[in-house]
Amino acid sequence: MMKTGLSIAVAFGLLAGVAQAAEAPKRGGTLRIGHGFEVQGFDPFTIATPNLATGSVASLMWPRSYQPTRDGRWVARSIIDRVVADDGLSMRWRWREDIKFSNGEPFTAHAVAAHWNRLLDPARNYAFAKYVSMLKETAVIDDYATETRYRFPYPPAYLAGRTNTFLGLVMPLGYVEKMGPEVNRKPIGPGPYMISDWKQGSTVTLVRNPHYWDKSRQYLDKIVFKQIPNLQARLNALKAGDIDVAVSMLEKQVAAAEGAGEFQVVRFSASGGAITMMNTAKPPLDDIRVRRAIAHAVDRDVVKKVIYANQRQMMTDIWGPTSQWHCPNVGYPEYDPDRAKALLKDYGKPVKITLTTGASALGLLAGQVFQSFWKKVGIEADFRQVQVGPQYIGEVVRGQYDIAFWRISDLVDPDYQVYTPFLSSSGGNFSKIKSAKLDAALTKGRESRDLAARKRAYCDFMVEYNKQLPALLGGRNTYFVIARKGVMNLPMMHQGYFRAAEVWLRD
Amino acid sequence: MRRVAWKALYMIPVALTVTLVTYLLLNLLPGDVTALMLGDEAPKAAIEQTRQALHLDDPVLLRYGRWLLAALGGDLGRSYITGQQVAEALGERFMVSCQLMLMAQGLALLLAVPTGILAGYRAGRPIDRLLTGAAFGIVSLPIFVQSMLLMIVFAVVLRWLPSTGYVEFGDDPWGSLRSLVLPAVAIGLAEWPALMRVLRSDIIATLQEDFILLARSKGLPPGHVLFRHALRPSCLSIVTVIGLQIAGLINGALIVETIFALPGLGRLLVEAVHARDLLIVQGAVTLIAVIYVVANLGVDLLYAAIDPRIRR
Repeated sequence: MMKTGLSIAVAFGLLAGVAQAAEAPKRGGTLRIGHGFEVQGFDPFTIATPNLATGSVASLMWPRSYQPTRDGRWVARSIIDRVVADDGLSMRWRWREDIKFSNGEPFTAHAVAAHWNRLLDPARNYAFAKYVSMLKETAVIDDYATETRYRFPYPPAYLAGRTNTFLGLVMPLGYVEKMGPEVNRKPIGPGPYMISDWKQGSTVTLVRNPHYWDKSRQYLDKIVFKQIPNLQARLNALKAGDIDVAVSMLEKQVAAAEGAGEFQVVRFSASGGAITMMNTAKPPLDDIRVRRAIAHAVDRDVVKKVIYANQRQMMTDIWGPTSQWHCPNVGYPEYDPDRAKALLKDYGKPVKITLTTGASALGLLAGQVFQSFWKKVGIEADFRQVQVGPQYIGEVVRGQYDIAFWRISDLVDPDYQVYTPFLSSSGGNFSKIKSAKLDAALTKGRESRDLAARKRAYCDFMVEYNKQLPALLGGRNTYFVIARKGVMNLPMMHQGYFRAAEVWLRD
Repeated sequence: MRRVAWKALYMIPVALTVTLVTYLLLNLLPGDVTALMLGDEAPKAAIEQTRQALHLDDPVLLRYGRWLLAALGGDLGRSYITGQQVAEALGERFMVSCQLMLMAQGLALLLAVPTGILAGYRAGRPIDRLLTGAAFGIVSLPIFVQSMLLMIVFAVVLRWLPSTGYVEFGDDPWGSLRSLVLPAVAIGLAEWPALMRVLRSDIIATLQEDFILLARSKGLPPGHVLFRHALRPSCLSIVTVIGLQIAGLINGALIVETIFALPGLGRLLVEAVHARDLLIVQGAVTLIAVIYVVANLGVDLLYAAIDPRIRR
């Protein structure tokens, strides 16, 4: 048996700008957080994929069972321990017995199992089926122990971060059935805070859960998430003192705020990031020479400066130097316009491509920048802006694009990040890349129980990826927060969520 | 009274036509609503099953009939995105838009009536040219810029008013009014020039009438002549414009709602269109149609109140 309890060292992102010494936390006060998205709700069947605001609110009602520390460890919180079976086919969880939901009902293994088994319903879970494809069932061992059973040995289960999924929104036993469709907007969780008021499209207010098991860590009286869609207005609200924290800010705003010194700026550089995905099933992008020419034509220093205002690192591998999975020297194509021209000459036919980009000012800028790179080497490049949301996603999913901006999520285990998007036979392989070498590396990474072997597999994957180039690598996932100076213990923003559960206010 | 009843009855075919046309247009949109609900990777069998459950394969008029019957019973369905009842979502947003519209229109009128009368009375004089210049200046300033300037001056620098957000009137009446001052000023300033210019023109025309000459020859003071004798007959055009502005403001204050983070009807509609939340779109368009018809009914009744000859 492999015990994965108290502290699992997992290297992760870099937190900068938080110079908050060990000062005793103060209790009380209201934290007001300005964000840009609509909070969608909390039933996975309704929301399918949560946006950053939804995930941030959810983190207060369903905190992670393991929490990261600033020195890179994961510490058990709501569970006693987890034990993975030797054959890798199951994992047993023992939950704390003093956890209660905000309505006073006990948090039991029965509620956990009912929740996860509900999500496995193949007749309903298409939107997130790929995230649960490895799960067979969750069984109740006793009132406070569950066993997750896998369809095949699943090594990523060893990582504590594996539990940080938006699907884990467990509600009291029978509550979902009782509430019907209303459950999405009237959730009940076991976390430190619970929703007291929700004005759709405006504010979500949370207050302390009176039944939370660790009251010593509920510092704030109230947390208000305020939706301010306009970025400049969000910054103005911070300057006016109407909010305490502004999340999901633009790089140039962060740079300006940092320069002014009026606020504290936090940036969290994670794994994954922006990619420029190529439809390898469509000519001319089905030819590797064309894809490599496209990559060589991109001046990544200009991208970093113009699009990211020097606030993001450019990826050469998917995981980055702060991740335990980082693979240095994996041969990402350098900026070399002469090489690009030579490859295009070798290809021998005119190359015409259309870049799909989001209908926003940043999308326009990015479209213009990339268009200029490609035109310089003789590629006839055009770009079209598409409304971000279902329309954009739908076009990519249906393969109705040549090249499109996309993103690789920030997740702790590479299996989640790259298996579905780049496996030849996967329904989620939107670049349509077909490569036996990539498949072999991905399968080895998923199935091997040896951590070193997994790491080698993902580095092999990265080397082959940089040869095949199903997508160009862009700026690393980096999350920015601008906060007023009295806001303390600002969280590390894994997956971009602002987990405010243990924030406190100095004044 | 009979006239009001007829006007009210007239609303019914208009609203029905709008809902039918909207329903048909939404059906022409590319993409499948089941893909939104189930995810793009849902197998065909599941999509078919859901289509059958939602009666999506039935003739469009039959589906419209079903929707209409449910809507008449108050059931407009649920948002595909949030699961919220459409009627509840519309109710919440309508209150915000209504309050904003009333404040903005009230402010615009407060500005437009005295300045319109003054400009008309002093037509061609420096004060008229100054007001006309100011009106053109404000009209040429995009509302986005105007809103940002107001926010920076009154919220960020002076800190007199909140920069963003909405407080419900029932929760905190004073806070609610404060939360809408800046957006109402932004809209009111944008509406003011049109109202002022319309009133100015009508005042100029009215001041040429014989009954005004008679009033003046009787030695009545200018203020009395303007407000007691000239204003009422000059109001027909401004009432028409107000009617159009009110209905437009209820659903068209999108930019201001977005900048000041107000959860209004305009923002709801645009976000629903982007997210293809079709039941929200259908419900919102229906509500907006009703608002237009009601606003026009109100304008017609006001005409009759202003000029009794219209009643005959």
